[in-house]
Amino acid sequence: MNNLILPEAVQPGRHYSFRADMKLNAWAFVALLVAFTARWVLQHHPDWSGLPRSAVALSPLLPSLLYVRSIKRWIGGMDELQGRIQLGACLFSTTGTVFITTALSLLESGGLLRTSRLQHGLGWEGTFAVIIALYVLANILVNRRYR
Amino acid sequence: MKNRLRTLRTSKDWSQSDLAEKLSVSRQTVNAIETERYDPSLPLAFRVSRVFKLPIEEIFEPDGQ
Repeated sequence: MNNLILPEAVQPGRHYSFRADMKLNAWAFVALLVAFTARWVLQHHPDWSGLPRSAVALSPLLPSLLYVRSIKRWIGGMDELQGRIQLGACLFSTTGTVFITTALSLLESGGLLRTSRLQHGLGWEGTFAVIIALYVLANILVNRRYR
Repeated sequence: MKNRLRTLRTSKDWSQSDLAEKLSVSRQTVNAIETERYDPSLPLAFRVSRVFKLPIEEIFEPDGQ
């Protein structure tokens, strides 16, 4: 068999490969770990000045960028149809997330979310969850088209 | 775009997986090309042409011709 990267290698099922999963998603786990640690540090050190607080608050961005690089390499190792499907799914999930967060922001500015849990937006956890949900949805829909 | 990929593949008694391996693509890609749901890129079309030792225009034909 050729050495193509297949999306099934990181999805639950008989083709799942822990190694492939780690190669793709390790930086996502690191980003989550750093984000939780940063939150804990900021809660326990309210006395810190602006610069170190900003550095800690922004620290999850570096592993997040490295995760984007992993995704780019992962898609680059696929054949042209799989690459197109995954790029389409990534585009759908990111534009969908931008649309949802913008809609929430507009509703908030219109005073419509005051009593809701979403009055301060989705937060990074919510944004991450929406991206994943839309990505999975897009994958199912686009894969069905080419099956 | 219409193509004769399935006919050519079965004439050589190859499975979709066999052809996928020769072309360095996934089986899903071979299936999508055969069912004309996906048009291959020019480099892939050249690989198909090389595998079957036929000119591209004898394998692929634009719609409406």
